[in-house]
Amino acid sequence: MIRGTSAIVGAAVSRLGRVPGATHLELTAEAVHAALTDAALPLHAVDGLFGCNMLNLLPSITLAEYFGLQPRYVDSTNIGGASFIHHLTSAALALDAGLCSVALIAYGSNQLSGAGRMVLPETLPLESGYDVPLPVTGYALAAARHMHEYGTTRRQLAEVAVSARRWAQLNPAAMLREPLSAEQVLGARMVADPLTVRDCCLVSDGAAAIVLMRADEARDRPRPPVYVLGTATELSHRHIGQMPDVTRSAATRSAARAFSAAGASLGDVDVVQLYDAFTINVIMFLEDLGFCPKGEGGGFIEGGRIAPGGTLPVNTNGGGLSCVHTGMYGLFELVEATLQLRGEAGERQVKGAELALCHANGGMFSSQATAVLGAATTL
Amino acid sequence: MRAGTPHLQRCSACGECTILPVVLCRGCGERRLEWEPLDPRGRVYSATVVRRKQEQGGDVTVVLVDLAQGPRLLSRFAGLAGAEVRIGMPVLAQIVEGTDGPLIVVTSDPSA
Repeated sequence: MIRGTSAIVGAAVSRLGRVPGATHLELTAEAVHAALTDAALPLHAVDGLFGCNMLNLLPSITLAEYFGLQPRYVDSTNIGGASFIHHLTSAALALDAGLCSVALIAYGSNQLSGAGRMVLPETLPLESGYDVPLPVTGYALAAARHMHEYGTTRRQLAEVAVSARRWAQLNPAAMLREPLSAEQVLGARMVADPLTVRDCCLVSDGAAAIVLMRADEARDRPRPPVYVLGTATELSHRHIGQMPDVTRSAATRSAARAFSAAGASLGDVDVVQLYDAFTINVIMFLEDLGFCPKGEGGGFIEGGRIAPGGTLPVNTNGGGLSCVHTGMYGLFELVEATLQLRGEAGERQVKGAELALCHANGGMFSSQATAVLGAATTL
Repeated sequence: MRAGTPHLQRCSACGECTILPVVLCRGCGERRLEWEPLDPRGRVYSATVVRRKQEQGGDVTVVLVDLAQGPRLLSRFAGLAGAEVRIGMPVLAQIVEGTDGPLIVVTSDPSA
């Protein structure tokens, strides 16, 4: 339906890591300016505004005011960290329908320098009363069940973190770059069994932005367009207790629809970006997306398969585990995929990458959004 | 947790049982939900020990419990150290007074 009708023409991140003294909007502006510079477009060319965050109740309005924009079309759907891949769907549809001609997706957070942790503005009626940190408790329960049902081991979880760190060592912008061993992951401070602090994503400041145009106009921009081939969003629950099976996410459904829309299959994928808020996510998503059968994700990632030099490059920027996690990670995946498909990822570049899979998650495996992106050769 | 004893809702149209209080049945969409007393029996579906500082209340064992009536419940395990809590273990649910109101906690079921 929307296959190849729109393309990313600009993509950038702000300073990442610890960035004291900047509000989430100032960081967002840093990424927006860089993404628009990348696209060689002025700010006021933007007439479609997409994005949300965890601080503004009415993010479209706040962003429009802050950037001095009067967008013709907006969408600030908030489904957690998967929001921005959902916005990608919305932007592609809006561009194709002529509702806007330059779509900006923008997001920033100062959670590290601000509160020092993720702050959730909402309580869950059934689950907030136990005074335990959500969402990590939910993911720990999923990991524990996955280990029970399929024999997944803590060492396999740790190898996910090690693989991410090895990618981060190739990315000068990544927040954590010192060497990391499986033993260090296993021996780190336990947060909620079986997850240690190194099985958990970073708490960072940072922002990301991408700019999209219709395909016919994208070709006139300076950078190679990265085409939106297929996308899909799925929802399944809000409370972890309402997730039908904590070892199976709705990624199965979102991936099937996104690949069908893209006319592509898993075998075509050159580079993968997964929402690694916790190490268990990567194992579950590789299963749910179809890279291996359910329950075999732990074995799948062993032996450096998803690390630099492995056969399936996953989270080439270092992921949420080692590069950046600002509370909502998904937009950083789209920026990294764009750089990879343009051949601009430096030392961590996956040679000849033409097709990228981005998969994002929100809440506690609550929302799942998949995007298949491709270089011009994939059209 | 109406009137001090835990209740959940069952749809008199399709039989679906829910622990999340709702107005329309999430199984069939009908507005025919009736309250019924919670059967306290259940089994541990998953478990984790959440590590907290002493001033935050110390470590706490958090479980997902599959209740005999069907719904799954996030809860706290009382009366056993975290390492003794096993997936599949039979439990009983009961109400305790939490800091912000009543909470359902579970203990091991001695009769099972």
